[in-house]
Amino acid sequence: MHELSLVKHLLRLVDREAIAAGGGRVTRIRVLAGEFSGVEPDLLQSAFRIAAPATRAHDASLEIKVIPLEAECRGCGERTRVVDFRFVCARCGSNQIDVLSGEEFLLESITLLDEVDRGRHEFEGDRRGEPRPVRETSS
Amino acid sequence: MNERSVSVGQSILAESASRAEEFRARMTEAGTFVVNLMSSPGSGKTSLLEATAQRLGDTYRLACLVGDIATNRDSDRLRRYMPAVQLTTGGACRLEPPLVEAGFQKLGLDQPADFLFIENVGNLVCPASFDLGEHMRIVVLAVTEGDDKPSKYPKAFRTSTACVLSKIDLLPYVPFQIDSAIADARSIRPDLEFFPLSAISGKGLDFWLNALIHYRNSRILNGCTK
Repeated sequence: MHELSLVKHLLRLVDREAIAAGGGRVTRIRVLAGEFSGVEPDLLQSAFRIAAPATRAHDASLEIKVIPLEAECRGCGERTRVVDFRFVCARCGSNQIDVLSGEEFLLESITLLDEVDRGRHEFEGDRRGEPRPVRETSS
Repeated sequence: MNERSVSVGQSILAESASRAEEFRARMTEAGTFVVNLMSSPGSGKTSLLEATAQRLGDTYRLACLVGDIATNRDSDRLRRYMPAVQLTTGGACRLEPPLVEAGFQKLGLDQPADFLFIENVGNLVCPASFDLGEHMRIVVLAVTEGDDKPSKYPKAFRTSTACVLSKIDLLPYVPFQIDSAIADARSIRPDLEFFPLSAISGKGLDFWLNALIHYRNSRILNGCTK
């Protein structure tokens, strides 16, 4: 049950990337979660709904793509799916396999919406060019 | 209104991982070998650390950080043998790098330790996902648990270098099969090393302690400082 903590890490990264890309409201977040990443997609969604309202991603959708656990056999070179977390080659049975995917927990992309804000110039003028905080939209 | 997609492709735990990496580098530099102990609650992590510290404490400088959701009981027990700081997570199910860094500060060591033990919160799920900056991760499995536990919590076993099988003095009274547990765990991590021992009777402890020293020597160049 560490998804709330994971979501906080995610939202911090989303915020940083959004600022680096010029700001705006986040409407979509795409995440890749490996089967063996320790991330439970349903719990991540619930945690996201709890943590997102206070951030620029408050009405963003969270899309989680689960990445299968796959490995390459050092013996026969077979690219093999790791089933039931038995780390053995499906072809030759060797346990000398290297994991290729399925352990990652990545932010793949974010979608940003530029907001033309009527009060913006006035607001920025008041704050002398400080970064504009994310406005809570009432829509 | 103009929508645009920004490609990121970055690990969500990258920041946490880089803090852990910095801590590990700092500890390596100081000659401190860091061990992260994970297990379910009640498997005997604190007893293992007590027994370890009693025997290693004459030769090596030791310190520990102890994670629990509440109480200072474990650090009170361990402080008899080495400097110990309790990390109470207030409900969180695992330790993360910032908590470890703060706890290490709080230890206030005059001289660097040779070993820093981090006793994680009793939980086989969440701690497995967080690198704390350790040199070695150890999973403790008591023989009073099921010998099929590795398959149920594969990440804890996959990410550990060694497994301590604790409480082996109780083997005559429980159905635990050591061979089955080892086979089960090695289907997840083929090179997992095993240390069957009893912190109470002392059986298996020498093998464990010698291995700990060996692991330290393979990662840390400085000799012991005591």
